[in-house]
Amino acid sequence: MYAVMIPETIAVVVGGLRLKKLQPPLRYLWILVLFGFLTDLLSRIFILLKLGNLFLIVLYIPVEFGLLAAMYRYELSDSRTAKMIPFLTAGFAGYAFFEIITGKLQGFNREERFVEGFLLLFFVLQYLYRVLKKLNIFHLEYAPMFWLSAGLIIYFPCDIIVFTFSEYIFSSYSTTFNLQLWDIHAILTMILYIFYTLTLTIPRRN
Amino acid sequence: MKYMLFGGIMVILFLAISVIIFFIVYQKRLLAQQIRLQSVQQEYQRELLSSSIAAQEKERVRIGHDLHDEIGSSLSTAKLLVNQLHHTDPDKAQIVTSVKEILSHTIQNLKNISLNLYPSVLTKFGLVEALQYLVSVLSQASPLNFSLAADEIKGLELPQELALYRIVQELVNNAIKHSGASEVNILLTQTEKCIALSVRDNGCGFDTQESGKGGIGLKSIEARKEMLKADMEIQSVPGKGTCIIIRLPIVKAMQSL
Repeated sequence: MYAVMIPETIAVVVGGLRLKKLQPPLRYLWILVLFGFLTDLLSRIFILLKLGNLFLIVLYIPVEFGLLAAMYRYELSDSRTAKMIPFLTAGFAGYAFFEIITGKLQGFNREERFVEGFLLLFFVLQYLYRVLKKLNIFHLEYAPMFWLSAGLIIYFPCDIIVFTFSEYIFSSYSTTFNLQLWDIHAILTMILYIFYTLTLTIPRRN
Repeated sequence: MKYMLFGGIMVILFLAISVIIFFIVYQKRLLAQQIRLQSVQQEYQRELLSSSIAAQEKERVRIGHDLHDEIGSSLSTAKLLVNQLHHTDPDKAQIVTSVKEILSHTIQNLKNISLNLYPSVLTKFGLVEALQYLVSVLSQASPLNFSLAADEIKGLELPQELALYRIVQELVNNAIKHSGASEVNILLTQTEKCIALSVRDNGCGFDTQESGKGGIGLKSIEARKEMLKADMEIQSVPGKGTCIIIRLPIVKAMQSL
């Protein structure tokens, strides 16, 4: 599903144009969007060359987690979670490095994806709880982090299901079913990138 | 399996979207509730402040009346009686003259204190006349030059006029005590939108950033300003004097009653 590259490209271009105006945590998001776009592009090139591209997800997950976690660390400053985030990021990076050196790059990292999704959802919920507790955001529509959180809360629960069942469906059911599942995942990714673009576009005004 | 999985994803998607919508609605509701609570608290504080100022004024009026009517009239009677004493003995005549002078000074001081406590001119003739009287009394008592330029003020009730009068008293008092100024100008104007009162001096001025919250005098002005729902602007530069402007919007003036 090549259509997924359209919102990715738009997010990269919009973020790039607004890079100077973006606040520090949102610059991480642009780096993530750019990294995601390049990873996707590379994976499609590998498909065209009929080469395995599963190892890219092993490299992508720690980077995605690290950058998103860094954004929430900035937002959740002074909390216990914020203090834990560097260690969790280091853990993810260490795990990825371990997989690379042990040659497990071709595996399907559903456990890693599950932990990543679970932790990111935890950060998102903690951010939303903080917004409700502090009540210092008067216009949610002008809070970029809210749009990012909305995107992640929509994307990750479904993403976890797709990753959890994909391998089982691939081995027990048809390839078509598996591809349909990944088409749904592509639609979710497109929705996520629309939210990323919103996050990068909306000026903070609170 | 296929439909169950796709259905499951749809349900989760629906739940996620519902969580977001619920969050937006709930946050807006909490925010509105907080704003309402804050405004109620502010209104309560303002009412408390108004009551406290009103009680203070009432007590001042009572003390002023007592001083003027009781002690003042007793002293005036005493002065009349002393005036009837005629001694041929020059020593005793000197004592009687001294007593007369002391009584005159005391009666004058009593009038000044009474004026401070209870500006009867304000209740009888209004704010502008009261300020004119204040300026004339201050000009006699202080070496500073006082000037007043005032429009005819309409639409203010007595508590508001009294609050503005007290603010002028406090600002003038500050200028006399702390500024080292030689001139104090009071300006009272009324436009369609607001009543503006400014007290300007050519004294030492101060750094508005470093002045902190000010002393009791400035707090009393702040309290009266809050009661009036007015805005206060402090313009001051070290060495270049001070100008304090109180702006009372006409609509708020009606509401602050």
